[in-house]
Amino acid sequence: MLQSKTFVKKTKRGKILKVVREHYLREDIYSGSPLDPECDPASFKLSPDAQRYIVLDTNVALHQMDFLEHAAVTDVVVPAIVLEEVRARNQSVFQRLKALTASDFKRFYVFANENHKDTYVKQDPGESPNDRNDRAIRRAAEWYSQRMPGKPILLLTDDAGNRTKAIEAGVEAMSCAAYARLREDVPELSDLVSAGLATQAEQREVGGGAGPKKKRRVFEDHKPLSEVTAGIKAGRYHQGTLRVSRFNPWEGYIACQSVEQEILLSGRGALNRAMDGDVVAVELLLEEQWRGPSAHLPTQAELDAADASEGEEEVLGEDGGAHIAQVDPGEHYPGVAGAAGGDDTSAARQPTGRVVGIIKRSWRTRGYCGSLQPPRVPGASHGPGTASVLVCPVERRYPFVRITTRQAATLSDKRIVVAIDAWDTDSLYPTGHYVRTLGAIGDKETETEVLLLENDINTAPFTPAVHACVPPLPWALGEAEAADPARADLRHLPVCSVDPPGCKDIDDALHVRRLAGGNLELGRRIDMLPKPLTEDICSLRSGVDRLAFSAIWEVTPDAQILSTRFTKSIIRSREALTYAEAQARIDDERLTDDVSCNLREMNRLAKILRARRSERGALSLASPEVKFEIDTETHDPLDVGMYQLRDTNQMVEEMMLLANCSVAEATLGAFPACSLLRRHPTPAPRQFEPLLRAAAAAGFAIDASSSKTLAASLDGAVRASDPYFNKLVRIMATRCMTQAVYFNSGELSVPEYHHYGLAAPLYTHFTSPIRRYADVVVHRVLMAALGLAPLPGSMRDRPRVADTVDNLNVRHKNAQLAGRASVELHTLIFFRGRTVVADARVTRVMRVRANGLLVFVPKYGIEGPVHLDDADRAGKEGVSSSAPAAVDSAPGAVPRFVYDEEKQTVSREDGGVAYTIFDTCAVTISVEETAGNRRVLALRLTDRAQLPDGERMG
Amino acid sequence: MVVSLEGDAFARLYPREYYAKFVSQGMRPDGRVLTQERPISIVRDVVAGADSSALVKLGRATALAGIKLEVASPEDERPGEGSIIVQVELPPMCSASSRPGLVSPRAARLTEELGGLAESGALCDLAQLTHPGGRSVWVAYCDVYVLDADGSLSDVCLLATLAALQALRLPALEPEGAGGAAVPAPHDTPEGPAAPRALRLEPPLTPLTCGIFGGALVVDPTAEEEALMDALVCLRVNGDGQLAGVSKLGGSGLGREHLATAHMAAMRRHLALQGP
Amino acid sequence: MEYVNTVGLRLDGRRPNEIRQLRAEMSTLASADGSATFEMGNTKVLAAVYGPREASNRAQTDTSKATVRCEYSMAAFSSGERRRRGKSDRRATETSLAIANTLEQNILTELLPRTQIDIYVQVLQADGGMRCAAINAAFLALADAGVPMRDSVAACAAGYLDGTALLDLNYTEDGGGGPEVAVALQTGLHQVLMLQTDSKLSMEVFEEVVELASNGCRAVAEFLRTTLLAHVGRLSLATSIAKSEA
Repeated sequence: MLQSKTFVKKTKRGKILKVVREHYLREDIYSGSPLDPECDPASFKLSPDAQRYIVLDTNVALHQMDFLEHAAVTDVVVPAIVLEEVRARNQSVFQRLKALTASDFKRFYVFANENHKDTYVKQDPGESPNDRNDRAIRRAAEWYSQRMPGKPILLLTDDAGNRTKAIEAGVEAMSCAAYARLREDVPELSDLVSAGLATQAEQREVGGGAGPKKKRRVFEDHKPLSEVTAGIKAGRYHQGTLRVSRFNPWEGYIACQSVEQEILLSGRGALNRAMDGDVVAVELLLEEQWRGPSAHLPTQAELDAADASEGEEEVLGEDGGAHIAQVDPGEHYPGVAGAAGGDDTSAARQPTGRVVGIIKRSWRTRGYCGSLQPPRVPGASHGPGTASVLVCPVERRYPFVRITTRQAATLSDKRIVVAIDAWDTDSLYPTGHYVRTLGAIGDKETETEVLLLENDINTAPFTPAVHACVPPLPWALGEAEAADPARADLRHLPVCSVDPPGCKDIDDALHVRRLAGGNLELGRRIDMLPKPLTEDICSLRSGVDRLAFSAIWEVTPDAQILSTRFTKSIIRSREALTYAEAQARIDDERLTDDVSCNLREMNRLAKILRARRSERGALSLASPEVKFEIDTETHDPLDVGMYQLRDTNQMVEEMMLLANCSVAEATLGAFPACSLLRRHPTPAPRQFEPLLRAAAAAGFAIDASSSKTLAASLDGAVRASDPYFNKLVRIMATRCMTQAVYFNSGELSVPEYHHYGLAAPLYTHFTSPIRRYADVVVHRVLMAALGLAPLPGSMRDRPRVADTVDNLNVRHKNAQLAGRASVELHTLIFFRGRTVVADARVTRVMRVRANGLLVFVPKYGIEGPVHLDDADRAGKEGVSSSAPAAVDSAPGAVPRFVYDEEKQTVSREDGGVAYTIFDTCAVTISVEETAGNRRVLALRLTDRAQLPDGERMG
Repeated sequence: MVVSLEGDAFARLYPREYYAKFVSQGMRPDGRVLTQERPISIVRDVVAGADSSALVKLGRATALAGIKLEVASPEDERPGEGSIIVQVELPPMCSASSRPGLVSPRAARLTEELGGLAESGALCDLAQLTHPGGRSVWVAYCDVYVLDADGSLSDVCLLATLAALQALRLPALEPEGAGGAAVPAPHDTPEGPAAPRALRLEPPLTPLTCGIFGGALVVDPTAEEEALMDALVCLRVNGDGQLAGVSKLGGSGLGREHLATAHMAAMRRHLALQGP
Repeated sequence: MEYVNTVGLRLDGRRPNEIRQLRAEMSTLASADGSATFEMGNTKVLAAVYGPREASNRAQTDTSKATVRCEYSMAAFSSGERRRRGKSDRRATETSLAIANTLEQNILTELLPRTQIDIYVQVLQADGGMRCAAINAAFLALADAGVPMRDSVAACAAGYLDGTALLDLNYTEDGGGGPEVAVALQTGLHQVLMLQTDSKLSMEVFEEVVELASNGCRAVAEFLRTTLLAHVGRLSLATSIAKSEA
């Protein structure tokens, strides 16, 4: 019963080949509906009670996924050709569509139209594949109509031509927008309809008769791709990935190989609709039009003014009819001018350009978090009915997004997710559509979800397939493992673990043992996994047998390593200690039990190792790590403070470094071309400039020519009167560092393996396999190096390893960003409703700018800008100062400040106050609500005169 | 026709005498008269994966030609032309007498003969095998497999080559970009897919092989007959029916009368194949 | 590449346990003692048999049984890119040996001492499964040549892709990187004549794939039987016509 159709296709694979494939047409493909008497009951999927069956067109699947995912859209026929076209065009949409077809509630039925003998259509001579596929989809809809005469069949397509043809063939057809309007039972459905090109085309069509409102173009057209490609080849244009300023969606940079320096893109017109992450083609401006980065802090008022005025022009335009006051794209935006880096006078001008084309959009399919822009008239609220509103994104680097919604009234106090669909030349903002509501603004759960989403942290639960791999609980040591000759039984050793309090995923345990002959044996054992794994089976809890992987060193009493050995093992932790407990055991000389003595011995060895490491030039850097005390009931933070580091932290760290370095050596020895290592590139000299400048201003010379000289300089940067000074210098040094990255040893030369910060020629991550995937990979390679398991084939596949490494680096960075954002969120919650004065003992100036300071409050780990003229500005909200450089706009009222770059000092012209880097100052910390429903921590200088004498330092 | 067992044995022991008996009566053992050719069948596109193909049978004699197109740079001495490269294979299956592993000298001779014809442009103008832009050209590899080598191989191979060339369609290519790489024209143009292009062939040649046996002209001999002939003559007539080539291998002289007879037979075949 | 799509169909529209369309023709070449073409989908092979005949090489003549030889080759135009001439094609040599070995076990060679049987296989179109198609074609050609045989032989391959055992892989599926097992059976005697794979695969997968391939062999055998019967039918019809005319 197979029928054979052979069709011919030409492919490009270096050569031009004729490809012949068989195509079998079948009789055993069913409609999936119980209403069809010929349908095999096994393939029933569509509900017999559905209002209608919807047949999906490819353009709807590609652009209206948020709409399709809504619970009210059910009983959909997905022709296989649609699935195939989506797979070829957009993998992430394809995965979502597949999930829909797998869902029992959505009832999306895949109809194999291409293999059904009655619905297969052959490409006509002269017919494009697109037209042929459209015809195939219409044919499928027609077939359903014929098969089930009683059930309305609706072809859902945003292609007007396809609709016309379908209606001609007697099949009902509708656009998504029309269908959403039809569904009065679910008003929010309309919000989800993407304002894509198709819909806009439809609006134009519809509005055509009523005298179209002629919109002026706001942006230059993008050049066609062919011209862009030719321009890049000819050196006229430059290609790069756009990075947009964290504070301003209208300022960005691209780095490209064709131009030595980064190219600055400044202003709405120059960015020409490009957004963060897009791959763009840029044309350089004439050199006299180049600009420099700002020495000016964007003030909250400026940012607010910018936010508040966003959208005004467009509204004016709409209201004003003939008088359209669009912002000239070439002009700087009022209020943000200073922030936009428009410091023409600065000597450090840099290549400046404008975007001529977007090579690849990177609009996030997961959407952007934001909230509706509040109504301009305070107190007014969004009315009922359909409204066009602007969504203010949580991240300032993104522009406002215009959406159409019927739920404006209910959404005004919510955090929502919107997706971007298009950005036309005649629109100031991209158009998008509502996706979902996260919750109330300011709510901890909501905001946590926001930061996870913004940082692309996947919190979807593990799939059942993953859970199926996990052994059931309670887990106990199996006989097979115990009998494995490759597994050493180390249960007799006095092993213990040292972790932060409350740690559930205990992933390392230590021991030390004196060997006959006076040498010592040092051991460390280690074992993103589902919970039963991370918190039980792989967690090295005390008193139970656990499988582990052990690194064992034989060392001399002065910590010279004699031999290194790795083995699978069985261990039984004697005790699970916290850092503080371990410290107490070490400090309490009276304790002479195994574990305590061991810890003491290990601590001694760790100190030697540490000293040796710094001798080599390893940097001891500092970063303000903050801890929160969390209310056990509400999970709200009760107190925040700097994380206290003890000897034991350093001891555990030292053992971890030793294990990681040893493993890196072992794996690289066995697999020089495919070991996963971690390197820390030496920072470029210019990265140290802020540090050198700051130190110089404080009277210290820093030699950053090597990590060793840097370490020595940092050690020397000590002020007797100021014990915290050194820490500040180290924090500053940390910020000069480049990011350490994972890499595949086969991709780089040996000198490039170097880890700058640790001054180690080789390094990797091995010690935390239950929470870092990189360590799992390294474990596998080490197993192979020891001959215990074959090297996973995927490790030999270079492109695949490269993908893995890239993903590891991206995930690592995202996790760091999310961690930072989480700290910020908790800080905000802590300061919500309280105003704290951080006095001069605990607040330091980290950077000096022409109009303000960047201050650091170590006690809370807070760093933020303060504005010198804040006090004077009070009560003058909405000042639209657009003056460059110095802040001198309001004559007479605001005192002038003079900025001395060399001395890193800013002082009032009248000599009243002066601030130098590393100075202390007092600030008031409070939470402020800003225009875009963002909450920010506001720092304001507190007059020193108001403080007790003793605190007036520096 | 029924041959008695005795006749069979005689034919095997004294093939020349046996054959002479038939010829003396104006007949041949397979029932044909001396000037009668075998039936011809031509089937095109028998191998779907090739760019074009043709299976030609001349009685039992069978040849399968398949063409594969490749894109190449033009040769220096002929910048405006592509090429057609013919290769004839006599795989061991083609006859009971062939032994595995040997490259047949006959295959080499046929390759040279047909290859020369194709290269000279006598089959089709090679300028048609260039691409828009002119930086690259088509090379049509025509591989001819003789599946049953039952005589007049030169004819059956040429007919198969011609039939395959007739069936060939050159895919539409985009004008070459700056990189010079030829790519298939996009299917998704507003005008629809670009149409492939057939070759304009020269007026086709019709070949005919004849043998001379004891002064008699034998048209379109089988393999058995060829082994007995004093000489073999291959001639070709062109579109106008003019003699476009004669080659004679070995043996006795070729009389004017024989040539005229052979020409007539070739004309008949030509008309039968091409129509009046 | 998705080798089995959401609704369980393969790229060409087959289900995992379906073979491609089979076609066969016997006595396609007049000069050979036996010949046949056999097609599995777009794979098309031609087999010719010469013999049993007197062994050409006396030194290698086996006085107790017939010698079976095979030469397998692929036409230049049979595959995607044109194949360059090259006699030392190791794969072809290996395939030749496998075909000869498989069919020799099924020929009653002991009835034909001092003879040789030459099997020539030419692949005209390659779309996966050539080795099995060659065995099937050669079996028909041997039957056409009247070579005495023990049983009917049928060959079919199966592979494993996307976690599914797939019968009779085509070229695209063959290139999917999964394992493939070729099986030839004596379908009446239930004997395995050939079982061949170049890939590593677990025991469970291996068993599943072999089972599927064996099912494929049985389907092929049924088709070969029909082909042979039709051919014999035509022959006897031709004979009776010849007899009535005489």
